Amino acid sequence: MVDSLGPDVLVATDPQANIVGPALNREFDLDILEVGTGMRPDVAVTDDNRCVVVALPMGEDPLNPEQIATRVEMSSVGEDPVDLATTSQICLMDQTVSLSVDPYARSATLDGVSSYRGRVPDQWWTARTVHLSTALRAGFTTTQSHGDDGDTQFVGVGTSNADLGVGTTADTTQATLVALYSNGATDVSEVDPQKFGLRGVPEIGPTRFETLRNAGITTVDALADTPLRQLTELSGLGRTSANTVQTAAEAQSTNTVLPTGDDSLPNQEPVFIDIETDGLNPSTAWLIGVLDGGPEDGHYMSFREQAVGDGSHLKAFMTWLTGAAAGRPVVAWNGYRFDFPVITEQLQQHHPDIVEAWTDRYQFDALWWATKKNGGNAALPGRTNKLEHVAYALGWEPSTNGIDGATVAKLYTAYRSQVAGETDAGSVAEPDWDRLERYCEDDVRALATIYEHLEAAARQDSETKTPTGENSSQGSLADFS
Amino acid sequence: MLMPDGGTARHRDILSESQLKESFPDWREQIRYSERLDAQSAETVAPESVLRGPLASRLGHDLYSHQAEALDLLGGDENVVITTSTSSGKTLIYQLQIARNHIDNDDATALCLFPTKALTNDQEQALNNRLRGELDLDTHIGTYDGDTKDERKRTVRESANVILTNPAGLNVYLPRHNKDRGWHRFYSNLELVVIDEGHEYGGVMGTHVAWILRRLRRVLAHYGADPQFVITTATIGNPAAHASTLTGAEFSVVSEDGSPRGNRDIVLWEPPLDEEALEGYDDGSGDLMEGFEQARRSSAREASSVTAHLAVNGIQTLQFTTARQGTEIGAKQTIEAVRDHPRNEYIDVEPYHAGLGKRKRRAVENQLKSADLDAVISTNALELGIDIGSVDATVTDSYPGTKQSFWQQIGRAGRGTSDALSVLVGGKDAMDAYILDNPGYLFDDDTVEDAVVSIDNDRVFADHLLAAAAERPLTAEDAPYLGGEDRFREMTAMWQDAGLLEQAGDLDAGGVTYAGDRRPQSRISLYGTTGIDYEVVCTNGEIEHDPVATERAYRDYHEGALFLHAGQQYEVAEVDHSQPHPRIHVEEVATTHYTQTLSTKQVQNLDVADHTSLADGYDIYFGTGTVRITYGSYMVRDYRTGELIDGPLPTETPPLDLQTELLWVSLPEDHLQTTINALDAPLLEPTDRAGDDPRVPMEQARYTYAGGLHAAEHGIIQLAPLELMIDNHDIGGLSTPSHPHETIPGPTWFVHDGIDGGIGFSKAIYEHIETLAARTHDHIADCECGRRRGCPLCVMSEDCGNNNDPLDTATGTMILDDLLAAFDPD
Repeated sequence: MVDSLGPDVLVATDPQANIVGPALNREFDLDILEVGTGMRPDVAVTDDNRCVVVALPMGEDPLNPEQIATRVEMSSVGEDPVDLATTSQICLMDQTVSLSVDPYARSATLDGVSSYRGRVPDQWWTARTVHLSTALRAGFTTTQSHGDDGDTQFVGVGTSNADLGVGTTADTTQATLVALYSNGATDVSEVDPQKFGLRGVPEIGPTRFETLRNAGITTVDALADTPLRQLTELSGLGRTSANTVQTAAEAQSTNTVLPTGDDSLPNQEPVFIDIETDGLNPSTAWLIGVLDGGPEDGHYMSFREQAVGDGSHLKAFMTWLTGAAAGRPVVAWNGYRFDFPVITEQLQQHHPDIVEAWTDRYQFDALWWATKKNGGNAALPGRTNKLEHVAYALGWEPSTNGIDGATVAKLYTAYRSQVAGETDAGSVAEPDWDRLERYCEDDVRALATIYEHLEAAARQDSETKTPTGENSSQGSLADFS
Repeated sequence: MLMPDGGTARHRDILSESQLKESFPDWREQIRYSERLDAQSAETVAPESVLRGPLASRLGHDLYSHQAEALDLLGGDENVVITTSTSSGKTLIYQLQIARNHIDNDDATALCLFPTKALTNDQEQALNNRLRGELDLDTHIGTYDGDTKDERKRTVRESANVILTNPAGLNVYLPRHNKDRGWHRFYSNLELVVIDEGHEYGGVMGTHVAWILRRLRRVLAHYGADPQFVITTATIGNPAAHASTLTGAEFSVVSEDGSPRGNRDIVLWEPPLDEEALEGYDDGSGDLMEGFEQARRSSAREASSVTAHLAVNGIQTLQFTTARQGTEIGAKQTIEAVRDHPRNEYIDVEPYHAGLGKRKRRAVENQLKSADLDAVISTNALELGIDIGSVDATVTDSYPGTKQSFWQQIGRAGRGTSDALSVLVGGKDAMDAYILDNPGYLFDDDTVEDAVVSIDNDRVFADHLLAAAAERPLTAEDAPYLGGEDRFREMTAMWQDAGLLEQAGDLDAGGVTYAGDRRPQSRISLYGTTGIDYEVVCTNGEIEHDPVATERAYRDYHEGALFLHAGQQYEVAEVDHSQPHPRIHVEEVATTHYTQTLSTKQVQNLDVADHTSLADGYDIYFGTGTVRITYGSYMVRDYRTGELIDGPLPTETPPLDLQTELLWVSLPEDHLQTTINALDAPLLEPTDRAGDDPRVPMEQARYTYAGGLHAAEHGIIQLAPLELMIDNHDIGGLSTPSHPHETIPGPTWFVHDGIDGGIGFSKAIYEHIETLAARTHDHIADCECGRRRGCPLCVMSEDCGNNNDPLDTATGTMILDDLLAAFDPD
């Protein structure tokens, strides 16, 4: 996991940070920070020398900026020592700021802010500083206003003991990936450590992982190269499943799409779409991005609402779809679970008369085809089956960065709230629509990239369908066992 | 003696004095009272008067007056709650309403909620027979629950006019409303919501169901659907209020029963008490519970003898026991009793409870219907309207806790106009003793208990608010459905601050979307209020057990605890409290022992919400507080004799903090002294056991007074179900001569909800405290045990965490006397 993500700094968090820290230290040549355990602040500088991360030591004493400056100089990479005063970003990390939720009092409060404030030198109590806490849940960010002190952004990078009711699963303790951008924005996402390496391959659970590891098969590449017979013996998998596992491993190891089934893709030229909403349980699809054609040269169109909640773009989209693009399948990634039903609901709300024209349309979910239809038709590369991750593994590069679906939804929601609060909608500062549309365009082009590879894999499959040797004929026999 | 005319009906003969004397083993005049309810003829109305032509003619028979009344109200757009008796034809009302709606608009849909899957299957059949058969309508009816195959589910979503499910199912299906064309069709056209057996939704389950129904109504409002509600319930004291709390809508009540019934005999049966066995326990030195257990034949064994007697005489009998673990033992004991019976017969007996597998349950139901079984020993699982045909007689082992439930069980005998016989075998607690002494409570008094459901638990609300947000972004318009303006906004703000609702969202502008982990609904447990369930797993065999709420896990499933489930005895081997998936590991064992858990308790952080000030320094408070319970040790007893086998043994269970609702009775500062001064009986001598217990005062006056407080506390908790439909296992108490809270200058006792966040039980007791105190006073003063330290029929409780020590009925009566005088100073 660490290899694949390539972070600048690793932070050991609870449970058992004191055990994890040293273990990581042995394993990786990286700065490993631990909060609240050292006698002195723990400091790390990123490879590009732009960001300094400071983990607060034990006790309650204020940080000493001079002491940290010295340590930063020692930790700097390259010829020129980093000057703390000019570093573009300071990241302070502690373990005292935490959330407490009391449903009986109907309040959620950040605890420990004032004692934390007492340890932070004034020059770092600014909007340029990001405050991380290992006692806040990964993915949680909150901004506190402190009057003259300005706003302070707290970002969770650990686990929370707060009573979060049914809102969190807490099933697996996931790793948190914090990305800091030069403009001060942060992006926090969770990554499941169990989805990396061998454990990321379908059918490989903890037991098989152990077995394979004991047999010396420790990487996806090695798994892809293991003879099928050995794999069946080791894993207790049937021949068909073993074959699937190996194909999946090969897809990941070679960053290619490989065929695993017999289904064909739609015959007609597809229309690729992607929607932007106000969250994962959306009440709007304010932008529908459409790509007509291939990933490189296809024509991109944005159907965006003209005013908050007006739904006019839905009609325009449908007019185009039923006119210029009549009869072509509409393709989306994870469309059956998200894009298609959301559009249906939006049409029901705004244009009930044309709902049928939409629901009768040939809708095609490329992810479902690849992973689910008749047991799946293609093995995908990428660290997850998310659109960006698969496309990235296939060589696609986004034109925007520092932005994802959730961020776009947040920007839109904030804008919408402002509009509703103002009588004159024109006086509200609009988001950078171009950037948001470009992000949506990135996604449909990513989808088209994957689709090209799926087509190639499907063709390859039809060419090699005839059994060519012992392996494949036994494989097909096992299909009926 | 109590079957005066001998009766023409064969089964009435069986319980006649002469018959019993002759054939009941060891007959000791156990019949305390019997009541004959005379047959009643039907009051009917021609269907044409309420139904339009085609429907009326297809129905082909008259309607009972209550059915016509309900249909009339439904025709006038009202919501209706129907409280007529068991098998009075309540289901026909909603069946006909569905039919009417369908004839007017064949897209119209209806949603029917049943408390159990078993009942759902039963009603699907009945609806099909009625709507498609008798009424010849082209309606598509489908069950949609955890047992429905995916393929079938899709068909039901796409095309069903009527969907039958249960509230737990609705909880997880609701979020699909906008992700599926079928659901969208169904909700947009929803004209009727039926809630069958609405009295089932009280306590913890009730509070969840109330929120699920509010979430449903809020989603429906989005689709412009505003369906009518029909709720059927057993007879309860507050049908309109209950229906309204459950749904948030207003209701008309239909309660005048127009259905006919046959003669019904109800016999109250008291197990004999062996006085001699009690000697040696009376000085307080021994283990009184053990004495009583030995002295009084267990009510279960006695009930089994009655069931055996009826069954060998060819009367098909359904026996109800209150405890789940009673059914298997009951079946065994019935077979033993048949063996001891002078008639040398063989009978077929089966246990029945919800813990049995579905196939097994279905088999027992069918065997009952086809009369292949002579007797069934059941929990209240068969109390609900599952069609088992009619049995000849019911035997109720121990008062089921509520009149509503009692009449529901009795209604299982002699459906239609055939004669029926029912026997209530008194158990060994205060409720049963009260009823055997005051049969008028059952037969003369027209009032029934109030159903108790509350939506005040903020923790439960907080969870359902997240679920609602995941179903549709929250907006200002949702406030009426989701807790009202202030509560809705405050809780929304809390979750925004906690990052589980979108922080940038605004209720008044575009709404607030859900931002937590997927499918919060799936993590709502209807068994508890904290969202944490213990999974029960067996290490050396199989077990199919419902998840256990935290509060019950701590009390009943500590390491070393014994329990019987689905005919098999288990011992808890290990409890893994670690979140998020705590587990109880159990092992199959063979033993005749059972365990009893002892606890210590502290009440802290009191916060007054309401206060009733009485005369002379007496006060009653209601509010919230933290109750810390440590289920620290347990006793092992033999269930055949009550004999103490081992204990107290440590449980190794950590303390449990409940933040919950409670009431406390605050007595004057000098009340100990004035009571002891006025006491004209000798002071009690502390027991040896009390000497080992640091919490019990050893000085005689304090020991005696503490016993009085403890007795008053026990008495009120045990008799609370006389007024209120509450499960007193979910209430706890604590009495103490002093407490640091500012509202408590002198002695006090607390009554608290045993469920985190509270479920309205102690609040209802607070509102009825005067009546309850009066009943308790009379009951303790008049108990025929006449013992200072009381008996299980007055103030001893099996749930007591303090081994029923100290207890003093004399001081207890004085304390209640003083309290009642303060209500009415003149």
